[in-house]
Amino acid sequence: MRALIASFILWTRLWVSSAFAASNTLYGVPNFHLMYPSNTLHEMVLGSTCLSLPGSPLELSCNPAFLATEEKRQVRANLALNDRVVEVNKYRLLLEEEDTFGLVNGLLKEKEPLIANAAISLWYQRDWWAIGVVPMRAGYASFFRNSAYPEIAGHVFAEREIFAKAGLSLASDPRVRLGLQARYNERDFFRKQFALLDAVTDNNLIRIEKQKALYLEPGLVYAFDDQARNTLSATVTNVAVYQSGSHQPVRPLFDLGFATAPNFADGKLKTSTHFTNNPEVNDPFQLFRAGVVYDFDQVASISGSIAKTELGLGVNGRIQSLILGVAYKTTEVYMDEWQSARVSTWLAELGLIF
Amino acid sequence: MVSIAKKLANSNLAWVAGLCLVFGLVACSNRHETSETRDEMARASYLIDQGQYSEAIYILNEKLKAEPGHPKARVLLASAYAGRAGLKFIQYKDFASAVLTWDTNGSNALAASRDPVIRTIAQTIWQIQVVLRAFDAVPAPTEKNGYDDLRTALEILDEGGRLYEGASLYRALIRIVVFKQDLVTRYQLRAENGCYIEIPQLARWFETIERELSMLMTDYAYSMKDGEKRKGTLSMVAQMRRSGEDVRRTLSGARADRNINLIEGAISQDPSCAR
Repeated sequence: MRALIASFILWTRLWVSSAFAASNTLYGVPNFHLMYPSNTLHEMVLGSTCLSLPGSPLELSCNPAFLATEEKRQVRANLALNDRVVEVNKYRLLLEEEDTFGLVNGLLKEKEPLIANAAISLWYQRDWWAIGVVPMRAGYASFFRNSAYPEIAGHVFAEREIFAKAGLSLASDPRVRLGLQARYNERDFFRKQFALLDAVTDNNLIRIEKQKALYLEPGLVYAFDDQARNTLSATVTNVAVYQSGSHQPVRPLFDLGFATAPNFADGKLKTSTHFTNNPEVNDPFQLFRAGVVYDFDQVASISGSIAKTELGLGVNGRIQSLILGVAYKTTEVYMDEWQSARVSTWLAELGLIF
Repeated sequence: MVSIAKKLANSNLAWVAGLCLVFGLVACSNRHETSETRDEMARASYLIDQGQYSEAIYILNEKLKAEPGHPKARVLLASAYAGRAGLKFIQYKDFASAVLTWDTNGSNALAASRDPVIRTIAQTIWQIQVVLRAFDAVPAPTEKNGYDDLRTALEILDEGGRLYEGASLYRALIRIVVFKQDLVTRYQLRAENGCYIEIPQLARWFETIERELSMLMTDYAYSMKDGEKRKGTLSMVAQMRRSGEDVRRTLSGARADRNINLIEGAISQDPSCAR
């Protein structure tokens, strides 16, 4: 069984690597297409580490295989966003007033990339399966430089999604859990690097691309027979079995993680070490991150993650049916090979849970 | 020792560690080696952004030595000089507003005249006023030797082949700044004794102004992506050149020893201002 699982993981990893097209790196601007789609504060803080950690009582497990052993029934509606959304809205208003120079001047003054994101989601979980809808998930990132001849890197997207996920244990070996997530996603986006004057002279340069895709994302968890409740997990995300619209390549991502829940904390403390194969990251050390979650029964949880270029810490809790959360996240963004900046944001969450 | 080794081999931890090692090795082997490729353009942009213009100029000059006429390198090098001159994109705000809001079909009091000739004159006066208002809003470099750097920027953009779209528009924007300065310093028509202009001097002045305006309009034409609009603007330039040719022919037909007396409004041989 171990050999089978190892072979599966190795084969998947090699296949995923070979499927990568040429790098689409825009310096100063993260590639939202290669980030795990985060709907809640917990997911935004943990990032891809979410895939190797079992879900907290208030959260939906990211890796569908973890659902196999969950006994949880809940409906949750959620809004999560970061504080940069306000600034982006300010620039949106300038654009509506056609104050292009005001907009450019404001953005040129931002010495670090401007990154904002927000998500609205609604889901229902019944033990080993869950369905949900994301009416809006949006992200904005831009970086301007050279005030004499302005150059811009930008990635903006807005998407809508419905998803379903389920997990089951193998009858022959309950330590092995398999899961599958299906997501249908419609996305409008713009991702490009260009000179401002080129945009002035070419109306077609700034074009919103549309993409529809159906993703099937398998997950695997192997639970060791030990007191620390160790688990080894693997997922393949961004696997588009159907895609229409934009020619932007959709690249599968492979994640591998090892999580542990030490006995001394009664299983409430969970930590994981996680690896994501992101083709646009050159530094191998940036592919690893660690995550930690502490659950206060059904009331609250603290989550945190750390990677070479990122640190996040958040807390959310339940007051009757109301979910409130706050988090702090700091990310090092590379504007080019010689310059980086720390982009720090506060995140907030508001939700209802039944 | 053997028993310990066997235990390790059978342990879950060893299995996990082995998998991680395999994945790490495979991951590293598939990295895109972009860090090995120095992107000179990105480096130059970064230096310009930091105000380190001299270093950016050096890098871009080396790039152009290796690849003469490289369009992006030319534009970035020109922007390094423009940056050093203290000319920023935001300074064009008032000029852009004047150009974007100018209404060459506007009117003044004369436009209400019933006489079609008067109406035509009124329209022409209005258009000249609109152009002068826009011209007034053309920015100036803030640094002491700014105009020298801008002339260098223009030379760089003029060498090495045709530029298109954004790069051509950038050249037009720099050219108009230099042109406005040159009108005051280099292309000034000097009235001798405050009252007359030598015809040969006038002819040379006219030729220079017409050449500068043609280059400006041509830059603007090549900034247009739309082929039809570009063709239309280029034919306007050609028409302007033909009109200029007519004026030059007229001026060169006048006697070279003649002057235009500004006080009397006449052409005369007398280089004095006596009435």
